[in-house]
Amino acid sequence: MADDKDVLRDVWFGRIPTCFTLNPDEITEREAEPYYLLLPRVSYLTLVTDKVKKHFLKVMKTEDVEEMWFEYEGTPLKWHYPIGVLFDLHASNTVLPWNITVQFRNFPDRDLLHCQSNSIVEAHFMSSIKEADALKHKSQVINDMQKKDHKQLWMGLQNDKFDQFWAMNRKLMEYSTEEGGFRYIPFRIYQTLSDRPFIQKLFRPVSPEGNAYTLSDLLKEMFPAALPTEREPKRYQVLIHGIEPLLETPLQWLSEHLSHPDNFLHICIVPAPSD
Amino acid sequence: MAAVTAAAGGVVRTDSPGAPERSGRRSSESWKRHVVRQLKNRDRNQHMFQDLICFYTRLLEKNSLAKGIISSCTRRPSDSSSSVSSLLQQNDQLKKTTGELAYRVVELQQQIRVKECVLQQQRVRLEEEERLLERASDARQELNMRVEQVKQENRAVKAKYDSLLERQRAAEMSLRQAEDRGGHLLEDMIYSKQQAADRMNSRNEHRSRARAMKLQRGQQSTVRAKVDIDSPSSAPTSRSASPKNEACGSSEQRRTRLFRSVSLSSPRFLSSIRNMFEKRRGRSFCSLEEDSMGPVGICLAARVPVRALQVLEAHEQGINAVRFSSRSDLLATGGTDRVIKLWEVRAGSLTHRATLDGSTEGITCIEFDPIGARVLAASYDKSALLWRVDNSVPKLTLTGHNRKVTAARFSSSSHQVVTGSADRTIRLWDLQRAACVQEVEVASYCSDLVCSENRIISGHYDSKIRVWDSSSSLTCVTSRVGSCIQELPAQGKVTSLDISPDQRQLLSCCRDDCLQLLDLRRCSNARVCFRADGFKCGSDSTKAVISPDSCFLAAGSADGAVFIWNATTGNLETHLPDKHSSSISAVSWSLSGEYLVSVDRSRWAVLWSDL
Amino acid sequence: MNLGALEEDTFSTCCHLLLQKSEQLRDGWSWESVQGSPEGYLKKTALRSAVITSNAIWSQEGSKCNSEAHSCCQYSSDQQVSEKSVVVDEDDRGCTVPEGSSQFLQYEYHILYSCSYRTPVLYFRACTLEGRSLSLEEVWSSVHPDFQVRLRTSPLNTISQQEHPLLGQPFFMLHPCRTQEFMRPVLQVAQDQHRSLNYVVVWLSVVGPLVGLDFPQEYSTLLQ
Repeated sequence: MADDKDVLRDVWFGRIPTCFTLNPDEITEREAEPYYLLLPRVSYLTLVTDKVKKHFLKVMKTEDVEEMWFEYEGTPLKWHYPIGVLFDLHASNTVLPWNITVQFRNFPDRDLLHCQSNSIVEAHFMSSIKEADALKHKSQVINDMQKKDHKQLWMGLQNDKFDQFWAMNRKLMEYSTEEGGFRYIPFRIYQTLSDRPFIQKLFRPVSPEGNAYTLSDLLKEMFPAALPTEREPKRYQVLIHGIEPLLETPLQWLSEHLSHPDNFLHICIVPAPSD
Repeated sequence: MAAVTAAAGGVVRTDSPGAPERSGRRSSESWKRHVVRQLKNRDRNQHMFQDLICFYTRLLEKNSLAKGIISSCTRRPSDSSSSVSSLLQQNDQLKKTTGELAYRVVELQQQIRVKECVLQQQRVRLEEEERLLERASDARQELNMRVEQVKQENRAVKAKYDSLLERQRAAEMSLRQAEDRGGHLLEDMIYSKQQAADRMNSRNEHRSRARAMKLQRGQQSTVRAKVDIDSPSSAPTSRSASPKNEACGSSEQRRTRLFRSVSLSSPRFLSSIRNMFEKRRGRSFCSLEEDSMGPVGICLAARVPVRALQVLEAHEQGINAVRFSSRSDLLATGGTDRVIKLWEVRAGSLTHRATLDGSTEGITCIEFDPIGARVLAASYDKSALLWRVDNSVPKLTLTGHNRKVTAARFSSSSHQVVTGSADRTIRLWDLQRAACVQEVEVASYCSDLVCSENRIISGHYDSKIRVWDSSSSLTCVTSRVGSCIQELPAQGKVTSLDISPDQRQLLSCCRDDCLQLLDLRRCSNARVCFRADGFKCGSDSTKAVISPDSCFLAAGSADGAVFIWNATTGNLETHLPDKHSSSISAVSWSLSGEYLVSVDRSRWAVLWSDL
Repeated sequence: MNLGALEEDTFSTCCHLLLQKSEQLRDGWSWESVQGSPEGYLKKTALRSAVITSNAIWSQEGSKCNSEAHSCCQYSSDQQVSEKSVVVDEDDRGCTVPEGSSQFLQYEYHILYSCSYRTPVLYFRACTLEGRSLSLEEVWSSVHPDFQVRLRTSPLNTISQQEHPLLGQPFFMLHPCRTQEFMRPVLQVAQDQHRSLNYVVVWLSVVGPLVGLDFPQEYSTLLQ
């Protein structure tokens, strides 16, 4: 169980070295230096980029500044996905640091949700937790919690307080031993190939026969193409928090330990590097 | 594979025992280990950037700072480049300000120099003050130490003082005890003395009674003898006695009231009549001899002494009184050493003959009875004493005065004596009864007195001479003496009185260094004063005398010289210095007129004569 | 089965019935399916005239959505559907973007099935005729004032911008977390009376007026 705790810590403290550069099309008073930052994988872009904004606003006129948004290689980055998901999805096999372009104009409101305040992030985060608990416990745990408990979860994330967060999140990870796991596993499978942003369906952690489903079982159901075949080389990587867990890893364990703070197990399926 | 993992999951959750458990656990560990390992791997790649990003951020901050400075700097030239004139103006202005600033710098520097000077001075002063302060504090410390020492000494002295006080208290206590003891002793002594006096009185009475009895018996026997004589049948014994009775018969009849001495003094021993007489007189109270011997000492002409025949240390202490006997062959001296010494005067020299003791204090006054058989003395021990010249034990002690007795004189009737005392009384004593028969209180301290016929004259410290009547008969003086018949003034405190042998003149000596001669017969206050340069009355009891022929007066001065005046002319006849080294207390002129004796306070007696 | 919940099969059945009626009424509902998948959604676009303003209504933050949303929804069920959006008093708001008088907005409504909550969810978006998308503030300003007062305490938990789960585009969403609760009494009554009931129609008649969705009474005859 010490390993499990380590896993939780490693998941929480995962960092992505990132280089923010200002979009060259932006009108600046002088050349903007790039800004480097270690981004927490489990957090959200708009929550941790105050410094970045401040840095670039120095070289800009206020009238040229609209809502800040981020882009990676022409793709607008959805702030409402956890940072780790964005990285795994778009830049998992590139050279570090992750180069993100910062833009202050032409907000793509067809693609991105607006986020002008941390309270938007909080609402989104709490909404995700509620949905996950609706799947796991039919919303029973989250509804039994008080408002301050909700706040503790959010503050834990916002201030990067692992212990504070997990003191409360622990309750959301409970389940009865007879059932052998949650009611349904809250998961989302992301892939870049289709318009559909993610796959989210009902999937139980334990089979009707009482066997624990594994990652492999989930993929077989949701995205069979991601499973390696014996005939051809591996086409896809299945990434959770930047790592490829073994396919036989039990889904319940993954949900408990490799979920993001929003209680969803975010799985990215990306094409395997050619070499 | 799916089955295996499913089993593994089941095992982990349910802990069911069995074979699949082991493989399950192995596989479970393998996937978990895989996850852990991969996470570590992932993080290793990312942590490389941590420091780098940190440094970069810091660099960026500095850079932006620098840029800010640079931009603010570079903006100005770009602005001013457009207008060189303004630049020049600015330059000028800058120069001006620079100049002003430089001037101010110089000024300020000067000020600084001045301030530094002041500072230096103040520093020096401060140092001086500090030195002074140090010295002062040293001195203070020293003083403090001295104060401490003095305090300690004070404490020691106080302790000593306390112990002394304690000792003093103890000493006072013992003194009081000693005084008490002394008082007790004194009382005891007085008591014993009184007892002794009573004893003596009773003895005397006893004796006299015995004598009277004897006399009575003798008379009876005489009567019987007379009867025998008258009767024809008388015994041969009566025959032998008859001539004796016949020889004395006439005198006996004349003096029936007088006590006769024992028949031992038979007139038959005529050859040694003088000697016998003296003895008899000493023993008896018969006045026949007095009367018959009275003219013996009468002097026809006194001779003024010119030199000292003998100088001798007569007593062990100061000498207060001196007196020649009426026959001029004996001299009595008395002093503070409590004894009276009798000196034989023969061929111009004094020979010690006897010492009369019995007084417990110093002697103040001496007088011989008219026939020279008895010596009367007054004493500091509040008594007067009477000796016979041949017995050193006092025959009588007259006690009753409360203070010292200053004068004691035989009265004109020789069985009485008069005493004067510092207790302001004059007492008359009967020698036969050895008791005080009359007491007169006087106004002042009586320093001396003399007796003449019917009168007693006393001198007092209140500068008065009082004359008392004593002309009554011996038995009834009681009521009469009490009246003072005359009060004569004197110049000062009267120290002594002397009366001329013819009882016509009274000499008084006063503290105002003046002798005064009064004529008693004239009943007037006419008096002659005698003074002399250098004459000074040495004490309250200095005694002056009239020469036996009444022609001269003699007195001793405080400087040790004897002064002699001519009584008729009032001039100083002679002045005899250099023999006494201290104040002369008394002088006495022999009735023969031959000798003068002076005594002083330092034990010396000088015999003077004209030879 | 859980009363108040909606199974995915029932959802599609209900949708088909609704579509049939819509064809009769010609009010523009259509079914959009996702390619290569049985999933899809009901879609309707509509033009509305409304006065919109933009201000930060979520500045008074709160997560007290539950009871408020519930009661509001119940309350709204009694309301008659209003044809026009109500003009909002601008003075109360300290508005930053007064858009002047009423203007025409193009609304697009999607009805999706949420397997998480097992309820239908209403997604919508609005844009001006020029194609500018409305912000959340502007959307809120178009909500009936009676609802606004009740929902104001936790605005972000009632209407929020979310990614369209099938299109991946930003849509506004009426949060479904309390849908089952307010549907349960209605379904209970229907069950007690042994009457069949089109879940989606009932649900839509409740939530539709909230966001200006015109839902005619004729659909009530669709009850099965």
